[in-house]
Amino acid sequence: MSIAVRKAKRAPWRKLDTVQSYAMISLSVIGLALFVIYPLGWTLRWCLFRYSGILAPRYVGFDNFIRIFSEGGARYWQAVGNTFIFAIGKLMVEIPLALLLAKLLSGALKGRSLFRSVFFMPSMLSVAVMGIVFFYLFGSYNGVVNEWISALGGQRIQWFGDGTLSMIVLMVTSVWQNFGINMLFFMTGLQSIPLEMNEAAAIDGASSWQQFFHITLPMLGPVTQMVVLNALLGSLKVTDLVLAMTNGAPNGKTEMMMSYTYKQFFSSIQSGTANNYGYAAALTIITACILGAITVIYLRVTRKGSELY
Amino acid sequence: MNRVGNSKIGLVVTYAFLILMVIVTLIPLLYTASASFKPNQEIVSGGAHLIPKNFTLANFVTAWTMGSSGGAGVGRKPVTFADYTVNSLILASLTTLGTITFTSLSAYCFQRGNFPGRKFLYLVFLATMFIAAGSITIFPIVQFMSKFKLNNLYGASIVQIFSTSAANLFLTMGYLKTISREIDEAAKIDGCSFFRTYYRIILPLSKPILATVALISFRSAWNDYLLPMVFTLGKTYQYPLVVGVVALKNFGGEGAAQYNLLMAGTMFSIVPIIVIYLSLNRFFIAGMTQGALKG
Repeated sequence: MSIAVRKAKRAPWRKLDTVQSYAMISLSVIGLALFVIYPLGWTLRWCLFRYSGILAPRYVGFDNFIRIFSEGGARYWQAVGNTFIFAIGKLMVEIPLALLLAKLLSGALKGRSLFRSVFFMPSMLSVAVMGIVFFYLFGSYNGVVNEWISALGGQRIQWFGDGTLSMIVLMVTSVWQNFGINMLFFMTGLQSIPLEMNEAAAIDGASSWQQFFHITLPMLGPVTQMVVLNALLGSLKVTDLVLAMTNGAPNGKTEMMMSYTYKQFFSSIQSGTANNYGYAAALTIITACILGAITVIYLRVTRKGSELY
Repeated sequence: MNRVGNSKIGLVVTYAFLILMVIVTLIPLLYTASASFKPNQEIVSGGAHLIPKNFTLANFVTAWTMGSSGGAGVGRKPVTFADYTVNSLILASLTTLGTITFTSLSAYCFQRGNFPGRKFLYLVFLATMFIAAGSITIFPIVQFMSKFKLNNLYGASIVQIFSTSAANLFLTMGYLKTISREIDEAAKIDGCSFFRTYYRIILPLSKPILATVALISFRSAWNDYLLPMVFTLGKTYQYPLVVGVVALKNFGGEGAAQYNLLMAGTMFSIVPIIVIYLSLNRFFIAGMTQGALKG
């Protein structure tokens, strides 16, 4: 990621060039300040206030945080728990599936680029729209999945009437949409493993599964670390899918950390009741801290793991 | 080096599995397409048949010309999926243009520039792009933009442009690294300024990577839900397709939903992306993997 810092050898860097560079980059800097830095500052400031947008804001110190960590925050922590169940559950299927497909498609298989294109296609589509498509597929009365189940002699299932089942549908949708891109990452990683290593092992009599577990997997370590982190953070940030498909129903059992926080900001516009934006800002900070902490812990743990090899 | 496929049985198992996965991948899309050609009655009464019994194009015509019953605004014509499609096109095109312009400019400044504060600014860019928390910081942004009457489709586009992912910047910088510095050195000796070198030499040479960035940003702007939804809240006539489709679903609920219109609207939203993807998937695959892997 380092930029080549090479001074111009013959052509000198002039003052005009500096002025021009500042002019060229100024809009991006302003944009970044307004749309990334300003909201962060806003969040850090208002998390210490009771701020409804109607009455004058009142400084309350850490009251908002205390509320999160007391009974008032129960719904939020339920959403945090749901988010982790969702993320871990879907990754346990998504990552091995992506790795297996990458392995199968990394050889000289006929039609491999066609398979690759098909598997990657779901990753191209809108998360919210596919949430609706799966909502239809798993519909109670007219859903295709229930039609198959009853054709096989089973009972129709009320997929969205039950927390666990709704969660499973969310996971299925998310795996369907994301295994392709993770497969691509693994394929890129597999290409960087020298073929000689596998050939040497084959000469020594290692079976293809032995080669996979003792050569390919360890060599893929850094790529796997990146892919899993990327997928983990992406899953923990799930918002659009939940809002489009279940909207937290039934009874908050599929509410996620991001969608809950989002609703704390916007519920007044939808329901007409007053909000406490300060409390929502505090939730934002806690959510960001959870994501940050997960990243740090993950990197620590996986570094220890990769030292084993 | 496909070890599993070494034996004939292994090869058959491999293909069987891959074909099963192709079916799993395509089935949701096939059923969407199928439902969009069925009358609502046929969808509601169920059945897992893919070929519609009463094939009809009426869903598309209705969605395109009459809109959904939830769509009519006060004192306005009913909002149709034609409006949503135009809005999606406006949003995605503006965002794409803005993203390639600003990504290209910043990548050039960071890769080739030599101005004081460049390293510091680059670090600030990287840090902020990584901590951008996405959906949970939308509220202060929309509150701020509404002060300038920009809580609309155009405001959404501006935010999409500037909260672009670091991946685009890395991708473009990586490409600029491969363009020989001797080319711009020569231009400089001939008297070209920093900007002129960019405009005359680097910009034309970086067209391939900018095409990739354009594809990626068009796709993500077109597919985006939360940001445009929040920015067009209460302005049905400004909804892009994705927002319109979700609104139609929430309006109907599970019971009395107009599934036919919902599926036709879904088709309007996903078919353009599928067509672009199928014709240009090489660029998508290269762009999405390289940018993300470097990030």
